[in-house]
Amino acid sequence: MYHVESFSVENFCKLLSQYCVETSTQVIETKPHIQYIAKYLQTLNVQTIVVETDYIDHDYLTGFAAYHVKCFYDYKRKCVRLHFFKEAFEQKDLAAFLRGEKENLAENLCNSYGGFMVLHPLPKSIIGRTCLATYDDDSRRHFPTAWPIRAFFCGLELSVKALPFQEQDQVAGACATSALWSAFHATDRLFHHRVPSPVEITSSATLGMPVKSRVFPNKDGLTIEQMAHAIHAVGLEPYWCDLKNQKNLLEFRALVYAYLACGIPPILVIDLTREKSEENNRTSIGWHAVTVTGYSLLSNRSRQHKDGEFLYKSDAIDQIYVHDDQVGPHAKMVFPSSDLDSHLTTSWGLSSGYLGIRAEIVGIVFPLYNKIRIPFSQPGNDIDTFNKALEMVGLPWLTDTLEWDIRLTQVNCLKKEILSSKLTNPDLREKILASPLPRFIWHATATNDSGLVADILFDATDIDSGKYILRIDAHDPSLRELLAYAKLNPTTDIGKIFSETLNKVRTSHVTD
Amino acid sequence: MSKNNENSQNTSVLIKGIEEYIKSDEGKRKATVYDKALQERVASRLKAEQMDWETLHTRVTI
Repeated sequence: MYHVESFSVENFCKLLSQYCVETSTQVIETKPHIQYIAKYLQTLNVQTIVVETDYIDHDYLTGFAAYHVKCFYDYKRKCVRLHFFKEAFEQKDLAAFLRGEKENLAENLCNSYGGFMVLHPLPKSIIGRTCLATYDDDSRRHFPTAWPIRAFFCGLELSVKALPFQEQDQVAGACATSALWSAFHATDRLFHHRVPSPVEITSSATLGMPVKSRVFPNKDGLTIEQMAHAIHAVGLEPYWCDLKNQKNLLEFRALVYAYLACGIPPILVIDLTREKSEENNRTSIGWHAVTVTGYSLLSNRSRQHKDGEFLYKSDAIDQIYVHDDQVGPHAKMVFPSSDLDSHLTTSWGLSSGYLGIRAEIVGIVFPLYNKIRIPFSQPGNDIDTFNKALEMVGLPWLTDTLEWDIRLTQVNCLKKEILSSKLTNPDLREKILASPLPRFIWHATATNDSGLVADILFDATDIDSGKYILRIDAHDPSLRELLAYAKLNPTTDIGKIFSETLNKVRTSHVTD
Repeated sequence: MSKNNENSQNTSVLIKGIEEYIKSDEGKRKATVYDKALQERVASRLKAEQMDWETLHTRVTI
């Protein structure tokens, strides 16, 4: 059955109270997730909510079968799903459409679909699988992990570009489980594995591992080692980067951007700290895990770099968006204005009265396909080495505003990008498009105020001691001349300066 | 002078200028500054890849 209601924050809360019978109205109205999602729906300009009752949700059902069905209390098996539309319509309009009397509504419903939210029939933890449209993916905000998710309702095939979110229930899992669950939906699209339900993630994470307390109900969360175990259990490789002792957030930005650009969601582990009232220092609330879904890039940043500085495109990231199971989908985490600060701000705990909460970065877990063997650090080091060489030869018109964009890509994405680009050299275009290339590639692009300077491709599937640079294409004429000279004269000063980079190039693919 | 000769002469001017710059005080200073910056960046990446037992066994609970 269905029920149509116009959207307002009050109506949204009223519907939740009506359909989440295990949770009191007071809990619903004060629940931070609900407040956050209500505001988010306002931002999406949602006009109408359609309630779909008796909805069967796979993830809930798996947890229900493993836990709730064995409770003495008769918890419900079926969920409720709320659909959100940016078009205003009423119950009678939908009824007329279903009776075949208003056919043009179908197109409006499909075009105005803003996503859905599953409501679990449980006390307090009511937010199940939630797929809401992202903020506009414009030149500033990017959501590479979002992909079209289909939802069928009364025979209509609706679609929303999203990454599933759900809150922890502290039975099937805590924040780490929710973060892994969201991340697996993105990696499934890229690497085609089965997406386990939260209860299955917690089970596989703890299987064969020493446990300190009970696994279910899971109130204690997971260790990073257990999170890695859960990633391994779906057939992926966990790659952990420890960022506790970094001087600034530049490496953090570079890492997040490099993998996220390919659609791989970094799972961020943060230490939430708050001010101590009696002393002038901070105290830890605990460690928390969130899934990064997107980022925002400042467009008006000065590209002029200081002496001894390497400039990356990722340095301009001013916000990341995360699925934070204590806040909501695509919650903002804002970078500090000074490079000397190494924490992010978060909306966590705002409604609990905590003030001055900071997210100190502990590290990142990347769920990677086994063939992504060369980690970001290697092309990162190689680009810095190449950049140093360029600075040493004194070509200020080339290097003063030089910026590097290093990101992981897949061969088909790279070729599609080249096909739609304005790469002016037709020979080069043909050569790359027709060449067999590895499935995973690190792609480094150098630009300055005059335009494109160079592209370097690294074979991400190679072994780290191998010659894993696939090709260096210099688009700037002076760089082309310089590299050609260095390649032909390896014993000269110029040749020696570039030797570390050129020696890693497989075959003769240097600036043809 | 043909255009090809002219290009060849320009190229050699560019390379000659670079070779002089590398040997100059400013060239040597740049090399030192960027070498230090590179070492710092490499060291920070190396640190990020190291496993710390205590970190890996801390519970992510919130």
